[in-house]
Amino acid sequence: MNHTTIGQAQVDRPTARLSLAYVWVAYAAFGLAALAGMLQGMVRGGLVELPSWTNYYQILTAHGVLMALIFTTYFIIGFLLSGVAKTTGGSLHGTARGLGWTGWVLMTVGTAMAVVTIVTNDASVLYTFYAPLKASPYFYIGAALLVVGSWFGGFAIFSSYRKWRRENRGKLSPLFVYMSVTTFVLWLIATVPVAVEVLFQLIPWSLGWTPSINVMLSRTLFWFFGHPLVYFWLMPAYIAWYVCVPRVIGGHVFSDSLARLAFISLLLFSMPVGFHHQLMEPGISAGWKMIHVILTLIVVVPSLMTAFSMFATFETTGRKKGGVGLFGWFKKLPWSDVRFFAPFVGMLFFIPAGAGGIINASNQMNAVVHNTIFVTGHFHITVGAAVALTFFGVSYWLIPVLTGRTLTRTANRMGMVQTVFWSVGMFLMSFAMHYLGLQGTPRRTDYTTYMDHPLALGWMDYQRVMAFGGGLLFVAAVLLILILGYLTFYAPKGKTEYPIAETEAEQHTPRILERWPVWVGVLLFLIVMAYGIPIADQLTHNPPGSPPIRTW
Amino acid sequence: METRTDTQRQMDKAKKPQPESQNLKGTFIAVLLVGAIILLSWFGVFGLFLGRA
Ligand code: HEM
Ligand SMILES: [Cu+2]
Repeated sequence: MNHTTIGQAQVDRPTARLSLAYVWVAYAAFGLAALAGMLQGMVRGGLVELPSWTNYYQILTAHGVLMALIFTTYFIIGFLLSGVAKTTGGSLHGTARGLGWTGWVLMTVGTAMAVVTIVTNDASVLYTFYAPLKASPYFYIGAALLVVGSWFGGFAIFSSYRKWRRENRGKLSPLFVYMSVTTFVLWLIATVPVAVEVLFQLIPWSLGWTPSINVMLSRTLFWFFGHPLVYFWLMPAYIAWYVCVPRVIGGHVFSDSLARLAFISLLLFSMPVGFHHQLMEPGISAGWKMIHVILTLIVVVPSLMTAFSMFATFETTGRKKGGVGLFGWFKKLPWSDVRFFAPFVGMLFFIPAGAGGIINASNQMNAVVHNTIFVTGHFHITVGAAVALTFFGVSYWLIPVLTGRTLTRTANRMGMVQTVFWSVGMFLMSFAMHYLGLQGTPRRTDYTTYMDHPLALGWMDYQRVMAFGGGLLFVAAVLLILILGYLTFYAPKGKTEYPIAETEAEQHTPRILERWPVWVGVLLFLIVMAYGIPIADQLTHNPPGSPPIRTW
Repeated sequence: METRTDTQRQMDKAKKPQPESQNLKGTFIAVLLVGAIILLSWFGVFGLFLGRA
């Protein structure tokens, strides 16, 4: 039979090239960052000393920026563009592709600027670029280009969504598209405050046009963005969990409405909550902090909804395959398929990660863990394990889909090994980080024994566990890049499925879930309620600003 | 008449044993475990806080 390729194509060539361009920049950044991460662990464990032409804070900045800002953003845009294309007929139309490439170019120019300033040691300000640490203006301009470029990825998704809706009047959008749109509505709104911080505070100040900076305000604007940033990492992983993983295991989406409701809740409660990162800061009153903490804890609801949904999909699928008894279904899951195994391990990591998040957000306990390496342990199991393992699992099928190749049995087996190395490494490193943090070990600190203080000497064994975990992680990172390189250039040609699950039977999803003006309206209302007065206070009662400081 | 048959049908349906695939007992236990982990860790660190306060 000579079917036209259009009917069969998972994602057409031009879209595949765009998506692949994003995914590969993501992994290039990831590789460099993994090297930096391993070195950090070794340095802190006292196993190596850095050469004199670099220093701990320079590589720490490189690691944080390349992992948390570059790897994640590129991968997310590449993945979502491909999935939107797949679920709206197999391709992006010309406008959307144009927007996608424009974004890629802007982001890549911005990334290059930021990386060069970090390499020349003019931007060791860590990935949070807190004032009054001052980087080269080019670092901030690069960051601004990165953000603006990422908006174009969002515009590409919105444009495909609009086109789909015009052609399918009255129909409910595909779940993948709906979730991608929600993710980018979040991203477009969340990046506004950080763009304001960079454009109106950091750039003029680093160019010397303004002598001082309102530090409090800059940190508030940063965290207005910083918390939704973590949901921006998480939501694409959830898309894989809700939409792709069920198909990989031969099951269905458990509930379409529940999935959409979870995403709307994540959107609404991602933004009016930034003060949970500023609980130890003076200049914000306890009452406002409490309001942000309460709104933060609401995220427990969509998180447990997601946990329920995942288990329910696994249980129904496992039972259909003949699993009986309370947990018999568990054994029926495809344990030797890396496309399932990697994201599943990610989900497991997310259980303690969520518990840790609730601890961090509770005011009193934040005093125990604030600025300790507990926090670093926390986000290595959220973004570094749950999200990263999911992205790896996605890459194992996404890259073959995009290159028209197949995930061979050997590549699958290597992927399993890679997943085990990453998971064991992350478990050891993060466990040590959590444990040390509870003892008070600070984060973001070069090797030191604090003048041989007995307390700090007692930390050294665990710092070496961290270093060992980092070594395993680095091996896993190298292995991953080798496998993905194989899947891009050498794996045998063939058809690979883009896994998109559907609900088992027709379900009735309340239409209100797709009424964007309602949700954006509620979100803006929440933002004004949560931030209006505190930001007005910080503007009118601003303390004397700070001149730029260079500590390195 | 209508109502009676409807009720009848509903009762028939209720009597039929649920298919095995609709059984979500395992899911229920699993989410309870997740909840328990959250509570245990929260109170663990809260204990540390009280010990140090
Ligand atoms: C090869 C795997 C990895 C290793 C060995 C590693 C190791 C480390 C270490 C040792 C630190 C520094 C602790 C400190 O002194 O405060 C760190 C910080 C950090 N890591 Fe990783 N990590 C890895 C993967 C990741 C991933 C996948 C992400 C996110 C996608 C990530 C994001 C970060 C961030 C944001 C920081 C904080 C930087 C800062 O405090 O400014 N890491 N990592
Ligand atoms: Cu947060």
